[in-house]
Amino acid sequence: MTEFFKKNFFYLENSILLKLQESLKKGYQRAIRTNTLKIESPKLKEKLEKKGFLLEGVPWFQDAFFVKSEKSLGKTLEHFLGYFFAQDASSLLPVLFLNPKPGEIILDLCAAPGAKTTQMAQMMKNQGIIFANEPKRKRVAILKGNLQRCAVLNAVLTNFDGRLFTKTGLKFDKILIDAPCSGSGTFISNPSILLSLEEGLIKKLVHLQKTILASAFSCLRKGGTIVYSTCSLDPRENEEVIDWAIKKLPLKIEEIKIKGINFHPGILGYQEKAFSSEIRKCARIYPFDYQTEGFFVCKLSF
Amino acid sequence: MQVEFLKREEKLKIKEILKKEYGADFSFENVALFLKENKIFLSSKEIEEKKDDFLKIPLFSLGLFFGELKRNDKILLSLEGAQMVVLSAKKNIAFLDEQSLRNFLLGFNVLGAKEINCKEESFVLLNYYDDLVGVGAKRKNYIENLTVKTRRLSQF
Repeated sequence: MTEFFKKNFFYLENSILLKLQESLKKGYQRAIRTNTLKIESPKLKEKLEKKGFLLEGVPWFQDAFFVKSEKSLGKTLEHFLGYFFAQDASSLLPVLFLNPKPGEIILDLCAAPGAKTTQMAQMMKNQGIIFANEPKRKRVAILKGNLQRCAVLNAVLTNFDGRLFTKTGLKFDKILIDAPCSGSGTFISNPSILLSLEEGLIKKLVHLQKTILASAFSCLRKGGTIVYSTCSLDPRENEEVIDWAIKKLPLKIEEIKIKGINFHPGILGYQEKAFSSEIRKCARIYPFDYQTEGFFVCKLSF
Repeated sequence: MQVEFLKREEKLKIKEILKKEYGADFSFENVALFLKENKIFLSSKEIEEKKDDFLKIPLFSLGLFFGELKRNDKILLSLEGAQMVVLSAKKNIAFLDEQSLRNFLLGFNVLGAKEINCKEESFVLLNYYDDLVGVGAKRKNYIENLTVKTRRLSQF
């Protein structure tokens, strides 16, 4: 296993590599987010605990819980009724970085299956507008189903290639890019992902990620913010994309602190490439930190 | 996308149907409404206010499906619409026990529910304790399950 880990995460320091490997033994903590558009968290907790689920609050989001039982949540009445959304606890962070408020007009550029869109809708109290865009036709249908199940009424669904959204002519103050990525940070919940990490795929993804970010920038109003995130640990999909963005576009990285969670700083180089020292302000979460999936998040301001 | 948002009087008509059918005093004050054929959708007020900025671009959908206007001025509510309306509903309500809930979620009709002011051929809000679980239609000896197939469970 060590060699296998080294091969897949060769870009990480040895100390981190060892902890990553250890994280597989500790296991993954499933999490759910209460859909506060339908029910309050204490009420949901009470209902699920009566059914034998053990829930523990996620320290960085008051309406999310780690689920400590093995039982299936997908077959519960509460899931059928749209009372919660099964969502990895670290994937709550991009929306917290964006900090959506009621009444705002926001673009969610890669929205399916809708975990972050529905999280934004509840933080916005169903007010304002979320343009939820998903390029894949099949996935936009899934997104639509999830928005209905969660009673989201402030979303407008579009089906554009993210690289071409700029053609709509719409401008936003806040944009979320949860970019398509290799998903290497999800190995703790889905170890088979490590079998699909190929160099060719990563190169294609990096190109796509940069193009999407450039397209998002052309939809951003002066003074606005973009949050860029992936569930990959690969610096090429993360720090390299951000380093490219801050050098090519008039964007600055904003350092963000969230109560209840500590972040690792961005990686400052990859092989012979050195990134701007500003990259340190990006946030990394590793699976060994909180037994969640690995995540990368960065807030950029114009 | 062609969308006509309802004016105040049209919203009032929907409100009156909900009052007549469910005894519900439902307020549309903080939301916008529009019809697509006979389907009623809710959206945020900002969507209505800013519609001219984006209705010209191709949209997949917008807003929340609230219910469908039927003949004889009845509204078949979606699960989400019913969850909103039930909070102030006083009639055409039924309560399921554990067995009938299970059958209902699997797609079967409901027998032996505890009914409150249910009128034959009316739509009925189905509850399990304090949860609204779906909508049915009151027939002579049973309540017809009107859950769309895509939302039925294969196991419960």
